Amino acid sequence: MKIRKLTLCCAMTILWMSACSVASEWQPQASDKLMTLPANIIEKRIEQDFSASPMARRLADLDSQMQDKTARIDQLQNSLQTADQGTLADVKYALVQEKSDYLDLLQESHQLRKQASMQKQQVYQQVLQKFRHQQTTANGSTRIQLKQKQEAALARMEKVMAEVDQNLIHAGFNQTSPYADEYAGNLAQIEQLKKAIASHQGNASPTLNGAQVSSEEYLRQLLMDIAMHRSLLDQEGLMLSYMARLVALDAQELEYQLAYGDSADGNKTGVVNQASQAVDLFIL
Amino acid sequence: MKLLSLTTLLAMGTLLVSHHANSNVLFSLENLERERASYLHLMTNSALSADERLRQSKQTYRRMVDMERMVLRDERITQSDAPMVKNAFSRYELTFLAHASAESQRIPYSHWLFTLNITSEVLGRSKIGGR
Repeated sequence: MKIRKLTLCCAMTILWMSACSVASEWQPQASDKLMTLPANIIEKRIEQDFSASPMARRLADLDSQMQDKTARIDQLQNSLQTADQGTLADVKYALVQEKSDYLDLLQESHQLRKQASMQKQQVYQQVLQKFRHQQTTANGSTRIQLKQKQEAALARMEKVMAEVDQNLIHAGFNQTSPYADEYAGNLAQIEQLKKAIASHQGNASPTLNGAQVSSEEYLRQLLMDIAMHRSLLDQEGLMLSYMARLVALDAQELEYQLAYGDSADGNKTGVVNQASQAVDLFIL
Repeated sequence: MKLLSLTTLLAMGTLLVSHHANSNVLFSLENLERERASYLHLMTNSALSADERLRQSKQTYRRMVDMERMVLRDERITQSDAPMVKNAFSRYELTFLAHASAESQRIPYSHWLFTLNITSEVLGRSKIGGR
């Protein structure tokens, strides 16, 4: 029975389990509402959304289970030192079983982290793409061209303003119009308000290492961070496969031991009665 | 609770900004167009005496000056890409008649005729006919 279980354990450890629970999903979307936020807030919003997802909850649950398994493996490894001949095989069996379970948990956690990383990358790519599209549309739009024309026209008008005011005086209008008075009064206040908006912290550009950067640059940095994180996850995947291989070898070794006993004793054949040894019985 | 009241404040702020942005952005330009049409009508109205025309044109000129300045300082206008806005900025000489005429040292009406190439010679060559 133990041998069958060990064989099953060995096979399960080598095979990658890809079936993740549906309850551990996270499906972020680069919505239009998200696009209205500053780049650094987009990052926080996505992280917040992830933390509240079933995937993050499952990861936390796996983490807790892995901590329990690690403690149990430590305990069994200590028992291995003190176990007598009679219980040694049982301890070894339990150790392989626990290691296998631990690897199953680690594998699921690794898969989920990889999936989360890929989804974050997709969202940031979508955000960056939409952001670039918005920028291109805004720069090439009719409105921008109109704005430029308005500015050029205003500059042209300002050159002759004094002359026009002079014409008005010649026409008998010695006092400035109510609009001109009000405008002059409001102009300075509008400039102050504009300055306050420009320097407001809520309107500030995102920062990287203390330096202000554009939203596009910030998003590119986020994508680079994710690429590095995924590279580390790939490395972790390799480590996981080596650990699985070691557990499989442990299980195989234990299986052979249980089936055939220690190799030193197993190779001994029993004493066979031979004719030459019985000759004396007949000649004396 | 704090978050809720902050969200309400933000919504109110957004509403105010969008209300400012969505109120008739072409209002000042429409007023200018009306005032200019009125000025041109005044200048071509043969029923008016020369004194009356001069008196009324001075008043209209003053309003045109104010309105042209309003249009060029109104940042909301360029939020619209209506044909009226495009035409207004593509033909400075005709839209901002009061200021453009000061550049060319003509009275606004003469400047308007000059820009449209309506001269005595052209009028003399023209024939009356149906379209």
